Amino acid sequence: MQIEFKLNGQNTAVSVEGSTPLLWVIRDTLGLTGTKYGCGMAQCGCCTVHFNGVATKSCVLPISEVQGKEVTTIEGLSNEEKLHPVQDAWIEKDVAQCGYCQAGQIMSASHLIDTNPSPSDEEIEQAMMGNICRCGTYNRIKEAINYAVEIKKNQK
Amino acid sequence: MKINRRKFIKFTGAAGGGLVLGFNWTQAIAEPKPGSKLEVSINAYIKYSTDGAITILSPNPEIGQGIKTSMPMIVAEELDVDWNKVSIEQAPLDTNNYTRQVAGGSGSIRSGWNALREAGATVRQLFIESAADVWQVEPDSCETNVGSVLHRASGKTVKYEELIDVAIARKLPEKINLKEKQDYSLLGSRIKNCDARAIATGQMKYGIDTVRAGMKYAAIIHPPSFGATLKSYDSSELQKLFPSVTVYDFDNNIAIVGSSTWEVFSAKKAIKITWESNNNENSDKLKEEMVRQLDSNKLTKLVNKGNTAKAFSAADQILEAEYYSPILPHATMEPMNFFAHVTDEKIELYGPIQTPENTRRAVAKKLQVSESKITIGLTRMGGGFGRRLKGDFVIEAVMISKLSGFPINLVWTREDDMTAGVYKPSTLHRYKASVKNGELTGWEVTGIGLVGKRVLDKINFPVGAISNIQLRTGNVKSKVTIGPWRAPNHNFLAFSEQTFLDEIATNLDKDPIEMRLQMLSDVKWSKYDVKRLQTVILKVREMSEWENRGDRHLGFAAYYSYHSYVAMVAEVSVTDGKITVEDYFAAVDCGQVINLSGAEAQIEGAINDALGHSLFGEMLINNGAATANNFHQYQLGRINTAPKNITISFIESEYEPTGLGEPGMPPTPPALVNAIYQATGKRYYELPLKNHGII
Repeated sequence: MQIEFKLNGQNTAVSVEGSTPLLWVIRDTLGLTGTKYGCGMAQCGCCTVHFNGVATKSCVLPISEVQGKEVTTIEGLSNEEKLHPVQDAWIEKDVAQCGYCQAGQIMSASHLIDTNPSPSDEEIEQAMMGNICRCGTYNRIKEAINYAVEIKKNQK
Repeated sequence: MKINRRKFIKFTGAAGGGLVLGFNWTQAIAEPKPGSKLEVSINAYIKYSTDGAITILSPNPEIGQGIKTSMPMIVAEELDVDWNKVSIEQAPLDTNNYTRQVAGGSGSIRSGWNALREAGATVRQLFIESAADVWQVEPDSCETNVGSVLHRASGKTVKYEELIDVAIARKLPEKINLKEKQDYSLLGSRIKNCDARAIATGQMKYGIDTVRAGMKYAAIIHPPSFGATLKSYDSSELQKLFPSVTVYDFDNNIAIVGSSTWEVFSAKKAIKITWESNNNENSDKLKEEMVRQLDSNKLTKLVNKGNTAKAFSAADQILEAEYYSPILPHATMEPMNFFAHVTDEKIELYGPIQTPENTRRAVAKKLQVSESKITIGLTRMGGGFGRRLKGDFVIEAVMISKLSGFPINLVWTREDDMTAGVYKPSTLHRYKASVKNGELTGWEVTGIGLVGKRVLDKINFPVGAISNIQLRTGNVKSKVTIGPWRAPNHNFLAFSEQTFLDEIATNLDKDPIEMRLQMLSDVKWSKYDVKRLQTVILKVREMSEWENRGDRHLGFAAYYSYHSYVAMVAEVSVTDGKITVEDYFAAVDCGQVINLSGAEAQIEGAINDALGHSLFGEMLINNGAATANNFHQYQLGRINTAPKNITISFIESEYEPTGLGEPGMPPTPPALVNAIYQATGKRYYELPLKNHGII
């Protein structure tokens, strides 16, 4: 079926089977590989994108439900000139080890601080619970989110 | 020091100009013996461009342990340049282009540490000699200062890049000077992962992201249980639903080739397959067999010093305990995948593999072709932990490309990854210790591994610390595919040993740290460095304020592995019978720290990784098959299981750098379990801890 939606601010049209998960449309059909496959059942968070502004696991979201909606992937979170505060914080705090899960982590974290200007430790844990990192970068993830909150405050 | 020039190759006429020095990343070759032949594989280079940009090409695959950043730091330190001008490239495995025969050499190999230092220092010395030649002064009267050569007497300076033409025309230096530790400016500092920005912006490419012109996607169906064989299959339904996909079978696998990942993943479900399996292994039976092995006469004696029987018969007290750790899958976040393009002329491979050379050999053998036809390009890896040492999925990709005739990217589903993987063997350890007059006098350990016997260590503490000691190993047969898993052998040996020692300390009414220090002070002979082990223990005692712990529940462990020394203290709290991990303290001696940020990350990561597995990790086997197939059934640590704080201290060390990816793993679980004892009065002998109702 023909699906039209907004991807990273651009009007996008694809013709695919309606049951195809958004993840595979983004990756295989549209060639944006920053969003990763990890489990295919919304358990690990590698595939997290913003769907109508909300952090969402794209591996179980059928493309038919994306009709007319807005999707932001890691590639569209910011532009080259100015990164999202969470991306700056991730680089500054040197969070990534293997890095594979980090796009998903960043999409969850950016949604958190975009909607909650000063999250508590509990709120951070709650927001990041759906993202697994086997390298174990969790302590730096927390540190980076707190740092991103500071960056964002100073930008205002 | 004198340097063997023949271990380097100076390339001239490089694209874009500049000086290029080729060398071998891991091998430094001893001085040649006259007349002998030696082959040097040039697999790395330093390129110094005329605009001052420096490129370091490394052959090492990056799996997240930071070597793509840390190893070039060693080169840059000796080269004496501004790190901001250094960029790092990863090269494909293509040794054919750069292998050359040289005369001489005994082929003895030192560590990569020396090879990298010498390569950097050789280029620095070449620039010094070039400048000295231009200025008509003695090289010894010159020094370098961040990318420039300085003549001390006259104060004249010249940038390296201005010396490139002179340097290209010169012979390589015969003598180099390696920096002294006190002169390091880069090593030991905090440097960010060189791919940090690419990762944070989604630009970093992993193997799973590979797309090539004309490429197809491939999925695979493995036997549903270990050792099962393919009897027959019916793909008629699949062909109706997915008319454009093609199906192949080989080596008891079925492959599906199509135009997108989702298409081939979906098509897998539409095929009817008949398998034959006589495998009825299950976890309980395997464990029972391991228990039986403990008392069998098929054990191998690894260590037998003194006379344990005598020590036991003379003992005031004998302590015994048995410890079990389960089978674990690797669960790398990036599932197995590989790109392959097989044609009659050549085989192009691209993807995440930790062992490109062995894999190339295996592919050549499988297809009966010359290795020279095969190139392997390496991608950054979405985790390894030992899984990507084995190239089974590369062979699969090669077979699928050969059978289909297409360039293909084979992608495993998470379910494939979890159920057709390579696993940490389950282990069973029985300990028996004798006490006489308040001292440990005898120590016996029997370690049983699933398939593998590598469940003990014959040189590690407490070998050397107890006069009567006997270590024996055995194994139980199984069809489960067993292999290395982060900190092989040591990973859960430390759990049993370090918790048993803690129990002994309690029994003797001794402080566990005090008891350990005392045992170490009595060591007469060892292959581990007693002083270094004592130092990390003293350090962690101080860091954790062990002696002023008040009502904090602390657990201690100290362990030597991969030539590094790590002591840890864990702090836990209990609420309504459930455990919360509060703090971890780690004191580490890994020799010279290369990248402090990366080094800390390895220890933090190992603590979180080991914690998650101690709490939840368990792959049960039933009817010969892995029972958990995705993260809803197999739990890893998440952000809420991370300790609230991790405090790490590296010992200032004169020693050469040693491993860090693994040594943080072994002491983490026992420090936790010992802390839990302090908090609850209960000792746990089996992992994972979720089975004890305290999580």
